[in-house]
Amino acid sequence: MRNQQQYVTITHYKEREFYFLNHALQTHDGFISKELEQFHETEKDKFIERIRLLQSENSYTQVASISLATNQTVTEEEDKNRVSAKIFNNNYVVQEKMDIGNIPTTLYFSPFAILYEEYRKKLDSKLTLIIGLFDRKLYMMFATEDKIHQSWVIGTRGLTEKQIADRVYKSMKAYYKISYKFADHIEMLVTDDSPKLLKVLREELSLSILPTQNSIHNLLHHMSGEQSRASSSYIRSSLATTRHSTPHKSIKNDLLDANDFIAIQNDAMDNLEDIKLNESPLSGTSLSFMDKIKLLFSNKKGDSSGKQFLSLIPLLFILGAGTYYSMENDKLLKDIIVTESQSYSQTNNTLLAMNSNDVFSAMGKNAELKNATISNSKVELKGVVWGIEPLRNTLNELYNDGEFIIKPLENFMTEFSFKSKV
Amino acid sequence: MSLKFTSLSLISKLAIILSFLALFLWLIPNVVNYYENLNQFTSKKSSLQEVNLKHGITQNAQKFNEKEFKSLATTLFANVTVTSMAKGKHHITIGLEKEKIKIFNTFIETLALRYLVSIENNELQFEKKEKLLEASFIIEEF
Repeated sequence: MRNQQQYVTITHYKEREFYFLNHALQTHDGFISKELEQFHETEKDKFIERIRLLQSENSYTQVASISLATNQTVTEEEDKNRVSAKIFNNNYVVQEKMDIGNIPTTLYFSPFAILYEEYRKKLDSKLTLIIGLFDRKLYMMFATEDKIHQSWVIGTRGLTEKQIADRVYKSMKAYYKISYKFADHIEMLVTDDSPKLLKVLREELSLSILPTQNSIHNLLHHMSGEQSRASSSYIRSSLATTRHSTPHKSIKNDLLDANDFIAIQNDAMDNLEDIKLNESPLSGTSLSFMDKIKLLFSNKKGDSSGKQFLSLIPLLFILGAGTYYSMENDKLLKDIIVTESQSYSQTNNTLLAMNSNDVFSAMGKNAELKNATISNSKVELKGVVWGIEPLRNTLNELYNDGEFIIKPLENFMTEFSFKSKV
Repeated sequence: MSLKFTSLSLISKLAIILSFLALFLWLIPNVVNYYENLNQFTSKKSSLQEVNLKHGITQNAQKFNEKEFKSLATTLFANVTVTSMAKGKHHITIGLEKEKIKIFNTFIETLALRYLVSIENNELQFEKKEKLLEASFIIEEF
C-alpha cells in the first residue's frame, strides 16, 4: 500500500545495441536508485513490458529518457515547428523531431538541459564552456549567468582522446572568431568513466577543467525528481498531444503528494500531463472526430500577445470591411427607395398631365370649366357648354362610362356636369 | 496546417474561425448584395436621367424648398401661393390664364424631376375665379 503512494522515477536510454533501465524512489532527501537493468535491442518487447510493469506497480510514476540526437541546438527563440525545451530564461534547445517510438516515456530531456541544471548555480558573468559527454558525444555550450551564447554537438566515435581535445579546441577557436571571447574556464560532466579523455583535454586546452561524473540514470532521476525542475526543462513535442485519461494520476499532484514540493509557478504549459508522448494521438490512427475537434481546440498558451494580435487582424479587417459595406448598402437602399419613388411619382404626374390636357382639349371652344377635379382615377367636371353634342362626343370618346348631364340656366345658357372613372 | 493551427492559442483559433465565418456568412453576401443594389440604382438613375434630358432638365431633383419653388412657379404663372401643412405636405395654388394650360401640364409632368415630391392622390383641382383659372393640389415630400 505504501508503495502505491510513493513517487517513482523510471529512467531509460539506449546506447549502442542496449537499452538501459533503472528506477528510483523519490524521497524528501533525494532519490534511492534501484538495480540497473540492461536489455539487448532484440529484447525490446521485454524491455517495454518491464517499464509497464513498473508503472503498474506504482501509481505515481514518471518515465524519463534522454534525447541523444546530434542535431540539437540552443537558440534564443522557441521554434513552434520543432520540438523544444526551455533551458534558460531566454534559451531553448530545439531539435528537428523526436523519435517517440513505442517505448513509454513521459519526460524527454536534452543533455543541454541536464548540463544547464547541473551548472546553472555556478554560472556568473565570466564565460564558461560547459561540456557534457553523453553516449560518446560532446554537448558543448558557452554560457554566462544570463544566457547561453553558443552550442555545439561533437561526435567522438572513432576518435582518439587527442583528436577529441583538438575538436574542442577548434570549437573554442570558432567561438572566438564570432565573439572575440575565450572561455574563462571549463566545466565538464561525463557520464562514462573516461580519465584519459579528461587528462588529454587538460593538457591540450591548458585550462582548468572541473570534471563531474554521474550516470545518465542518476541525472534523469534528478531531473524528473522535482516538478519545477522537470516541467521547466523537458522537451516539449511540437506534435499535438491530448490529455488522455491514464491509469496514472496527475503527475503534478503526485509530485506534490510525494515530495511536498513547492508548487510550480510556471505557466500552465508546464503541466507534465502534456508530454505523455507515447499516448500522443498522432501515434495512433483511431482518433474519433470529437477527439480531433478537441485536439484543434486544445489550449496551448504558446502564442505571444503579438501573435494573438496578428491573428485578430484579419477579423478586424473583415469586420471593418463588412461594416463599411453594410453602411454603404443602407445608404444605397435609401437612394434606391428615393429614386423609385421619384420614378413612380414622375410616371403618375405624366398621366395626370395627360388627363388634364385631354380635359382642356375636350373643352375647346365648346365649353368653359367652372370647376373640375382631375385625377388619375376619376374626372369630375362642371361648366357652361355651348356645343353640347361636340362636347358630349369628345368626352365619351375619352371616357366610355361617363355621366354627362346638362341643365338649362335662366340666362339662356346651358350648364353641364360630367363624372367618370379613368 | 492542422499542426500549426493547434499550436495557436485559443483566442487566435477563435479569431481565425470567426474570421472565416464572418468572411463567408457576412462580408461576401454583403458585398454581393451591395453591388447588386448598385447596379439596380444605376439602372434606375439612368432611366430617370433619360427623362430629365427629354425635358431639358440638367440638375438632379432637389429636396422641396418653398422659396425656390415659388420663385420658379412665379416666373411661369400668376398668383402662386404655398401653404405648408403637417407631415411634409404643402398646399399649392396657382392662378393661370387659359392659354397657359399647356405650360401648366408640362409643369406638373416635370414636377417630380425638379423636386423630390409627389402629388397627393394624383389629383388636381380647378376653379374659375374671374378671368383666371385657379389650380390647386397638395404635394407630399418623399
